[in-house]
Amino acid sequence: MTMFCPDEERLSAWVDRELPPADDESVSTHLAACEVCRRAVTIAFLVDRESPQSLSEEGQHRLFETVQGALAEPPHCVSDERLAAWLHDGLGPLDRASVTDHLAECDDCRRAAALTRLSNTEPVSALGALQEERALKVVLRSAGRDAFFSFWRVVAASFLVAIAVTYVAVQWSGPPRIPPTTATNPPGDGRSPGAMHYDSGAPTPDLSATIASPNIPVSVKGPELAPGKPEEAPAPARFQAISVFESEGLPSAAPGRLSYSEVLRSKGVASVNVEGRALVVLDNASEARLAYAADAGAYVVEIARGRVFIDTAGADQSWEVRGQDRTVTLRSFRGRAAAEVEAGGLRVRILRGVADVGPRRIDAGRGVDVQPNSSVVEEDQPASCAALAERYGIIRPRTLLVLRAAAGTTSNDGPWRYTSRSRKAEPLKDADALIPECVDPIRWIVIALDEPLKFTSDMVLRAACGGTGAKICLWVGGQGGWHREVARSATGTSPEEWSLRGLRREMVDLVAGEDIRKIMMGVVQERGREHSLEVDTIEIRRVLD
Amino acid sequence: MMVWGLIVWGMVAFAQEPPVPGSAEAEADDAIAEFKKNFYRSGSTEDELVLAVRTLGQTVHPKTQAVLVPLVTEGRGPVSTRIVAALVLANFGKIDGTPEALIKAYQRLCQNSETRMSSRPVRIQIVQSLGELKAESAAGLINSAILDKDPWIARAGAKAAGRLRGMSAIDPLIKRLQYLESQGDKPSDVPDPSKDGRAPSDPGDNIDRHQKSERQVLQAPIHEALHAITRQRQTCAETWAKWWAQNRKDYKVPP
Repeated sequence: MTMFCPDEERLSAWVDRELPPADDESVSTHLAACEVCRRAVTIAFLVDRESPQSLSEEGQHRLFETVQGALAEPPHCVSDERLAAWLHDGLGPLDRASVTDHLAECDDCRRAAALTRLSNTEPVSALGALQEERALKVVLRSAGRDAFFSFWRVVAASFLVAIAVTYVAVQWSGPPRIPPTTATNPPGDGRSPGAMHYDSGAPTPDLSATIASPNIPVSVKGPELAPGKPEEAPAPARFQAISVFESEGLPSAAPGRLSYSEVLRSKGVASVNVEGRALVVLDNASEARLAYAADAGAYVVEIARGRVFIDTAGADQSWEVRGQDRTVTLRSFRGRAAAEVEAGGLRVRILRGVADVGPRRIDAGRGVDVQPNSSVVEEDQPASCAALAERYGIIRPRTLLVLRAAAGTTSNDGPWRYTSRSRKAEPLKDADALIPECVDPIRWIVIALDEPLKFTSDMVLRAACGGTGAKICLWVGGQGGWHREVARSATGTSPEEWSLRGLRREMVDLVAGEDIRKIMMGVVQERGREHSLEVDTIEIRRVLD
Repeated sequence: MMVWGLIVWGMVAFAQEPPVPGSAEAEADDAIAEFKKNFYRSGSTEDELVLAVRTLGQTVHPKTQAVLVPLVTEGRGPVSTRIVAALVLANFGKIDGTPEALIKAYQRLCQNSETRMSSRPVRIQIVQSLGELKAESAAGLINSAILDKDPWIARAGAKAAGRLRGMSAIDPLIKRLQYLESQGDKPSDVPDPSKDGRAPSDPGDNIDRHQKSERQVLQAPIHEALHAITRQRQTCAETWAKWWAQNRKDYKVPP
């Protein structure tokens, strides 16, 4: 949009053919040159098309021509190569000025450039949010002049809003714009027979301040029919703070919620528990940061310095590993990997398990190197992988925290939300049937979770307990429950740890994937004698192999 | 003859149209493909096997049923995969043949004396699933489960009978109750049910369990099952037997 662009009211009047002939021609001339306005008007026309009564035959013809023109006009955009070169400062002054001029006018190219930057740099707005907003205004202004809203206009406006919001969400969370890799095998290459070379194309460059891309969250307002009900578009995945359940070795305030801008700096070794689903271990004073990736449920680790280990804790995950403006995406990754930035390149080694990197399946013992010249080499690296696996074996955490709660408290914030009425064991109503094989009464401490926790057989329960009771019943479940009797061996308030494997209901084992909505610890009142139990904090951890 | 068989098979296979994308059959095919990828992947953990079966069970279709049923008796997999296969089949009530397949699986597990004890949780789960399915064709199996020597199988049978609400379960329920009351509070002679299949290193094994007697395990579920079927409340086996003797002729299960 430039200062010469007609405002929305003028565009709206042009849509409705209400401008004087001279003004009409002036706007038409402008529309022929300005893609931003043309698109806004096209959208407005598309909306009008839904209410044919308001359009004459001539109007329909004009609509058809305008839409056809807007949609079928051959692109004058710069090629991907030129855009990449522009981003690299790789163009001559004349060419550069030409591309810059084009970017000033072309939203699509500006979006492409911004997206390319977004893929590995500080976030910038890659969207023409203003444009969509402006088009919406044009539509609404046109509609506002009518005495009554036509139903179809409202429907169309809603449709537009939905398109705009969806478009924003998709563009924000879409995959980084990386040219497809093409496998080449350069002649005279002396690498191992299993090595495969890829030409990754242009690397993702640094953020340049040349492009003014407003980082404006899209706030979508409905038409005047529903004033005062703005709907905030969901924040892009990348800007949602990621939950760190626990960390060790970091001077920062983690655990908590970690934003993308926060750099993890460790003096030595640090481990970060990502949402109880994965581990990131920073080795030898490395620096990195974490974020959600474009794919749902996928993560980004961006390495600023040193080496990082990624451990998926047995689950299938997707990880984007970034460093030195290079990216390696591990898809369907289950296992352990090491990644490090070195001499202008990025090295990723699969230490355990398997991952898909581009079209290739990478097994343990193989590595992917993105060279400074952007070529990608994938080859066997057994010695390197073995050494890294040994190193990770020394520094890795042995357990993964998945839940922490304090008995007798209620938590409505943070990663774990729960309700617990008492930290002291109390009789429960209708509790006789909970443990059918136990004849003695049991007093219970209850922690009800707001969100279910999926059971895995490697879970253990750690609890800091007090009281006189030695026979404890563990009970987990939802509507029905699985239970097990355990012995309390520690004295005082020392923490106890019990495996959750072997919990049963009607003698049938609790198996993986079951939702745990409630955790209870009961103290058995043996032989009619009263026994007490107090619980402070409980943790459920997965014991990693 | 064999050649003709091959030709006919080939023609049948050729004549079969591929499933329409997005159809229930196509979804079932996708679910089975995903299951095979995860279940037969080398190095899969027990939890991953269980989750693969669970995920397959979310797609209710005759094709997925055909994959799940053999898993119930599959001896190679861990017990947990057999349990979860029987568990998810409880949701396959709309698919013809599910109760019959579970009944056959139960019978196969009973016939194998070597694995009879280790397969007990699977058998209990099958009885529970048959109860969930409210399968009338399973009434015979459920009635025999009520009279099983193992009180936990009998308990599952009583609960399933309460769900099924078949008149045929009243007799075995009363008989079992009479037997229980004649035995008193003698502990069950079935091996400690909490120890089978448990890792020896499990700290829970060191506990001196205060195990309920067979009567304590079974009495309440039998009374509940009889109440669920008849809507009557009686205090003991004798009163139940008396009531049933008076009412069994032309008796209809109340709605």
